[in-house]
Amino acid sequence: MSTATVKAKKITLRTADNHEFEVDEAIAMELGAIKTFFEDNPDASEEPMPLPNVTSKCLSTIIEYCKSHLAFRARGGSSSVEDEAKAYDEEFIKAQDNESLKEMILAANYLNIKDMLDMLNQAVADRIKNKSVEYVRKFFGIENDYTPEEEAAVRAQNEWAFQGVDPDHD
Amino acid sequence: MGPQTPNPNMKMSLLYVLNKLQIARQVQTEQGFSHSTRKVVSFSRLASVSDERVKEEEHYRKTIRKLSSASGFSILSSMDDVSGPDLITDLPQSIIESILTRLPIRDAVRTSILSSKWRYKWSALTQLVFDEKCVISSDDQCEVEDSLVKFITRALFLHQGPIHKFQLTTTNLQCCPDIDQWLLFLSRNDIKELVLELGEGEWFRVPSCLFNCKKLTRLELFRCEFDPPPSFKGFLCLKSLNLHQVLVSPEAIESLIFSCPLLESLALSYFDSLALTIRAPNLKYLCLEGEFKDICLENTPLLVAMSVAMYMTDDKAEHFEQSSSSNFNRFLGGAPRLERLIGHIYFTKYLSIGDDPGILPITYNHLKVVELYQVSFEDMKEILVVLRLIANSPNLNELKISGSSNTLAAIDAPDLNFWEEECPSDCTFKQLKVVKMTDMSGVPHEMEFIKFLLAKSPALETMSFSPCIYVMDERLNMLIELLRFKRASAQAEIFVILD
Repeated sequence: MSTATVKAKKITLRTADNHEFEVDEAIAMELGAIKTFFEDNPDASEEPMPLPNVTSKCLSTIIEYCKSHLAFRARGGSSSVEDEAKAYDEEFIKAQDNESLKEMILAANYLNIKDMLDMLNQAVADRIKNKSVEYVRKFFGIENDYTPEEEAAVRAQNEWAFQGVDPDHD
Repeated sequence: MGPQTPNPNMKMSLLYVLNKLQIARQVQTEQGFSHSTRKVVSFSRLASVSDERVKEEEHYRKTIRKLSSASGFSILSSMDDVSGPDLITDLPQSIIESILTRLPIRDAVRTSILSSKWRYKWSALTQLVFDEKCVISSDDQCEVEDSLVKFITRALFLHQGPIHKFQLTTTNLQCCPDIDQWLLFLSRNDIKELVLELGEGEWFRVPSCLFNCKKLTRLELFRCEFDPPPSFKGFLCLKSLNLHQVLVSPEAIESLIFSCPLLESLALSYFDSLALTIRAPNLKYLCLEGEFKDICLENTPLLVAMSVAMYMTDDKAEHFEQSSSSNFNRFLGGAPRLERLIGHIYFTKYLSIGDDPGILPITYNHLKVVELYQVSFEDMKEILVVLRLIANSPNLNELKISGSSNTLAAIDAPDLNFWEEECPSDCTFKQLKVVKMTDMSGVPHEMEFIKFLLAKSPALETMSFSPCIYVMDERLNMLIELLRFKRASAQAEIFVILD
């Protein structure tokens, strides 16, 4: 049996704004879309993979996140490591503004990074849980295009869900 | 490199602006809906740091101060272009669903009011989870029950598209004709996961439409009556079944398990005197809890983890003495891929009934973790079960045993060579790393067992020992004996845990 030395394989990703990122294979495999691509095309050429839907700022943040979580996983599943990972996620979310949060959700969806997408979606849900309608509108920048009559009609149709809810509950 | 933390000064001013916005909003809602076009202040604009931040802030403060004293004006953005970009409305439905299902369902329905595009986004959710938090709490049980029924009925009626998961957890509803109707609706909408956890009182009788849910992959029923019709051929897609306090005939359970060929996870709890033969070729996880008269795992070749808690009474235990077939074989004989075994009170006693299986026909090559509770080290048959089990598990990693010996019961002179004699001479526990012995009373066989383990476990890392709380006088003797034992593993650490 031959002993082959395995070099840490690097994969190059090219973003929408033509930046190229060279990442370890292990990190690239965290991105589901990349993993599937290489599984389907094991003889893929060494050329950089184009990611036309992801900006470089977004991809660099994603790569940082994946790197950190890969390191957490390598340390095992003890509860202290899990707590550390959770704290890391919280800090990560706090540091993002809403626009980059949205960009990352779209990128994580496009790149099929399930854990990160779940974490981001949970963060968004936590930010709007139990908040009033006005707050949610402002938070996301949603423009209310109901006429007053329409809005009243929707409220009436769903009054069973609006019952007893303080509109200014924040 | 890494995400940047926001400027603390900017945070303070943001909070200031937020406070002002709240006041303005309060004014606005008191006045009712505004009639002028509403423009939304965009936080993303506020969050960006710029040199003109101070000027912008002052401008905002002035504007908002003006608004909070005005009446009937909506909040205007003083920026040139209108609202900031809409961050969410045009995200793909799969992401919207992922976000909305992480909210309580009441919040999800309320998103209908956000804008016209949002009116029916919630109604396409494929996962619906209902509980008492959906409705206003009140002391009047009837009122809560009525509101909950109304809530669920309206939600289902306005829903469109398939419903893959329906979960209802409540102590308020028991038997209620509305539940039948909901189940009928769900059976027509491709339901895949159904969880019904209902209250005490009169148990809900599961209607026949449940048995028409062909796509069911997960079923959990708490406190229901379950009676499959004779024509029922099984849930062909069912992977997970959890029946807790469910009234059902033993034949029905057996044939249900048998007719769900894909079943991977089975949990049965709080049954009365159940005699069960389990034939489930794909079963991986088994959890049994309750009064079981007899259990036989006839066809469970893929079983990976098992947890059994048997509440036997002594007279039932006597009934078993008559049977000669080895319970050990009937229970564990068909599970060669077992990785985790957890046996609560009476488990080893149950296994000990019947003839000694002798040399076991199978080796548990994958068994890594064994937890046995309330093992009586004065019952020779029970400790024989323990021995047979661990001697046939060459890759055992972790062993946890709690004792339940009654030191008042006199025992004949114990045959202390028992362990050496019964165990194959070449048997060592090469992978055993962690041993935990709890509730030890210090009876001779307990100590002999520990001595045996220490002598035969070259890879042992920790052995922890806790004396039983009722035994006070013997403790010191136990500890002294413990220290004397020879250890095959140089790095083995012995922890003594006293209450």
